[in-house]
Amino acid sequence: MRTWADLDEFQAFLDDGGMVEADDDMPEEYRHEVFRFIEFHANSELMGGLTERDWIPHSPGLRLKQIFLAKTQDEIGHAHLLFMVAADMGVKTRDEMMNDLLAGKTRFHNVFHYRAETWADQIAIAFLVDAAAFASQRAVFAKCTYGPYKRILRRIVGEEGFHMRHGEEMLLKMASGSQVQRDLFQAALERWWWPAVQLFGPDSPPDDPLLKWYIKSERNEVLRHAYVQKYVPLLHGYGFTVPDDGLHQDPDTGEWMMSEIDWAPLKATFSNAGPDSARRLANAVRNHAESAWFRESIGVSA
Amino acid sequence: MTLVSIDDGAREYLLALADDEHMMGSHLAWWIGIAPFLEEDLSLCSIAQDELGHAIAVYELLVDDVDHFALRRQPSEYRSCSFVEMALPQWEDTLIRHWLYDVGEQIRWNALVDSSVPELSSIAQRALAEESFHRSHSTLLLRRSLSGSEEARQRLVSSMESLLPQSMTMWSPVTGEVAALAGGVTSLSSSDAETAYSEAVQADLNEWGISLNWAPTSAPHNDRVDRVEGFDEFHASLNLVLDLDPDTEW
Repeated sequence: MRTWADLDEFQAFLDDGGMVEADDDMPEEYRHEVFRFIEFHANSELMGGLTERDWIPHSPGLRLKQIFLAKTQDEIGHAHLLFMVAADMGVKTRDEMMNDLLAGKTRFHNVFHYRAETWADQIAIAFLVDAAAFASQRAVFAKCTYGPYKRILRRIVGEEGFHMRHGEEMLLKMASGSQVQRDLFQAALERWWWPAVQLFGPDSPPDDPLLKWYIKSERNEVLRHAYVQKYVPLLHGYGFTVPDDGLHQDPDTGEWMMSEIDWAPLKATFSNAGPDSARRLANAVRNHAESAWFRESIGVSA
Repeated sequence: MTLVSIDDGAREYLLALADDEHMMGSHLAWWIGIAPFLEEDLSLCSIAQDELGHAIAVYELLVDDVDHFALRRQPSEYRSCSFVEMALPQWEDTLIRHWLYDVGEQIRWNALVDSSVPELSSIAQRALAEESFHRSHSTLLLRRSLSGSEEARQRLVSSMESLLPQSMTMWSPVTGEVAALAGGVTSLSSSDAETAYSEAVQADLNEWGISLNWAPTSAPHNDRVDRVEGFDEFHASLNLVLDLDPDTEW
């Protein structure tokens, strides 16, 4: 077990490219902040699976059903791995994390407080949300100083890359399909564009400890801006309209500039007051309660 | 790759198997995200994908457009048994059906290993390799849960009492079975399979110390022609997206 005399020595260790392991005597500030970040990530993967599950029964083909099952299984698998990595940090057990999530005491990503209204929403999630998550997670993986998390992220980022490519393939089918399909995706885009952009969060604070400790390698606003530069031209290229009246290209740089972001919808999700938060959590609580007898009988965590 | 060489009777026999796999895969898939614990979520989802894969493999022997055939037929054209058509939203029922179906499925695939249709034999061998995991999965969970708490035992035994008689509909023969046997497509009649199934189920019950008031009864002969109550809604749900624009590729 390694130990550090003070935060300055710990910071120097991180600045030199050091990697923290679960059995290290890490500073409590680091332990709690990294734990909170991984718990949030785990919660989000699980609730993301619940967002996607609604349309799997209606998959318009057996192979598509298998593909979307495998994709959602990946998300649940990510949650599983992340909960275990978080539990090893010794802050909360897996059961405590699950109970806190279901009690609304901990958060999950804003996008999973929204409901997939149509099959096209399922595709918008794969194309827009998975891509945003991929960009965000890849940036965490880049310099991540917590070893167990970095090793899990290698797998997560790899799988999310497949999800993103699948989303692109599905979108191409919608874009080159019938008017019904194009209209369906345009409506989904109008529901999911802003939540996807907001997923990166407000601008990072100047003293963000996650940046200082190299859990994040890039500021939120930088990642968000890069996402917009990539996805606006892609969506335009497919013939869709990005739902932002103020969207324009900077005449000097050619960069896509968005309207000012309204952060109120994001903040509402912080207190589980998003459009579908109540239903999603209520369903999760009910399902968890209904199968408690089985978990107890075989002595396992949720 | 469709098999034009098999007759209509054998096709109907294989259709019954494929439709059963399709229904089971779809019902198991419903649990994604809400199974009792995360590891079980992952396991059951893999099993659902396996069953759907079996359905696809057999449908591919029968038709060129699998999705259209699997989803767009009229309910009366399906040949699934009522045991696999029922929606079972309670975990104990899903687990018991998973166990019983896989006991039966193993017997059915075994009877196809030496099929006169080489492609079917190949599919059966692959399916059996997967089914051994499915069987282990359900029996391990049941063995542990049955001895884990009194509440669990009561729930599971009650579900067995309800579902075991229903499970006999797996052995309801289609008209084409006679032709399938005559042509060597399968080596086992439904009545012989039913006997093997009853013995296998009883062996598990004995191991778990469970005595049920259950005597195997012959499967009803029209079960694979009739659909269960609620099937129309389930079928409509499978077609919800396709119905938006039936002529396009999704």
